[in-house]
Amino acid sequence: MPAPPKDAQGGPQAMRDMMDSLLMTRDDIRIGRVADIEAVWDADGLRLTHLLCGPQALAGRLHPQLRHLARWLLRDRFERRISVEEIVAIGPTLRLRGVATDYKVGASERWLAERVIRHIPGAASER
Amino acid sequence: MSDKKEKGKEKSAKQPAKWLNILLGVVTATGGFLDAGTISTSGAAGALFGLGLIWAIVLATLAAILLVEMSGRLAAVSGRPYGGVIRERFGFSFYLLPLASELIAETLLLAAEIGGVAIAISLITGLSWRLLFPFVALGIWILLWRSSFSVIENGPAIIGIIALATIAAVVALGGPPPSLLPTLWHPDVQQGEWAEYLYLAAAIMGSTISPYLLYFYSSGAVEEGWSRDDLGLNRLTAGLGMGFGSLCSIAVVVLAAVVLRPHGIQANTLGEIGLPMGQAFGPVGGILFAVILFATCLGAAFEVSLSLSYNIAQGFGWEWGEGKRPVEAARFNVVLTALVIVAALIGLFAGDPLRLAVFASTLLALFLPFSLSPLLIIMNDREYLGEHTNGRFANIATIAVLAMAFLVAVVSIPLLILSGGGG
Repeated sequence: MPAPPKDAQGGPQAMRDMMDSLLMTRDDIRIGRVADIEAVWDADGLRLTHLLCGPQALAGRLHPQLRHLARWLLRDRFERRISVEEIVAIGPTLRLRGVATDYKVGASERWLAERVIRHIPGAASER
Repeated sequence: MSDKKEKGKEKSAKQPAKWLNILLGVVTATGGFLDAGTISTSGAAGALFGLGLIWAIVLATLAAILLVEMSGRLAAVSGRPYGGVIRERFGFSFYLLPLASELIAETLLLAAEIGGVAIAISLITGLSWRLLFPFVALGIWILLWRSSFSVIENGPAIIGIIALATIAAVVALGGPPPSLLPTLWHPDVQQGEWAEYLYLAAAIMGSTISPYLLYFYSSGAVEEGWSRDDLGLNRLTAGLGMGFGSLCSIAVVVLAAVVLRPHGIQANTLGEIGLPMGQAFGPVGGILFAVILFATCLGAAFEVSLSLSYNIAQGFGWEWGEGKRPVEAARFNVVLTALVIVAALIGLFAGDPLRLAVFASTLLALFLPFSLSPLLIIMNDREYLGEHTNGRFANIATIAVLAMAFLVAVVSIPLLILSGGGG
């Protein structure tokens, strides 16, 4: 598998730039935005490992205590992680290697489309 | 034939389409300028204070032209809508401020717009607007569910161009009498009326500089695939369209001042605001007013509900757009549906749509700084706008608009309390 772009591998500036970026898949589907990032310290310094999406990560952006509260309520059920290896291009839009169905981020879109929206007349027709 | 000649021929063939687009853009912006908020605040302003609040409409229109042009330029150059850029540029915590304020004020405004459509139908059919209200809400949802963006954007606005009949009505009534003209520069405000006067001024600002315009306009530009080539169209649409639209708003003030004020009618309902049209054109005038109210409130109901849904979907990075089938943008369409349901429930239990529209407009005025202040920074960001960032004049004008927005926001709540909500 090819390596992610160099900018995506780490550095506080690159990490800050990625926060809130739009996640776009290879099939041009918007699946969400980066809510938080996960990084590790190793021999090379600070290194980004995963992008996080979900209500707990977002709650943590508002206040650390809110993240704990959201975790207690939601039990990680809606939290999603995407490996940094999946990033092929960075900027205000992060382009991902796979297609939308490869990722759990955006699963609620598919769930709503299949379980709710599809049952309403005209949902699958061109406008 | 050489390539150059081919290109020249292609270019000239595109010219009529280009001018048609410009005309359609201007017509859409003109017809889309009025809504329940602007009609209510303009009618009340004329009935209570003569021509004494026209300055607020002129000031607010200049601000709206400036802001709408910038949001269109952002979308045309960067291909990104305003709501999403706020989240990207300022982060999630800040993004929640304009989002929450829009959700509160514009859900109320949406209820008022649905009420405006119901009242328009009731003026023609004689049926109770409360009875019509749920059916109107359902009809609006069906149209949002099934129609393409161009139908949503252009349909009501093209009918709404009939709003220019308000200007014809002013002419038909012989214009404002000389005795009324001094109220233009010396407002006739009695002691004890200042709170209501300033409250209405704030509501006019909120209804004219509605932030939903920025979200809707920039999202529409992205939906229609605007590029740098459309920057001229953007300037003309914003300037001419909103300029013509504001003339209709001013005409409503003049009509109320000429017809309602001398009889002590305070424009407490949308029906009362339509009376001058009847005086100018007879029974046809009443129907004309009903059609204007119908088209402008319908268009605004579309714009408000879509702008909120756009804002949420773009902020959270979901698929969005009226160009997509509902199953392709499920979360966006669920939000859109939920908003119409919530607004319909509010409208069913709230009072007269006019009061609701004026109250929502004051809330919009209160929240203006949250929605407008990011624009100043974004429009100077080369990452988004390249060489099309704001010039010095645009920045000074934006700072002046923001200062005005902060002032209006600070005074709007005390005025709301002092004036008893305009009542």
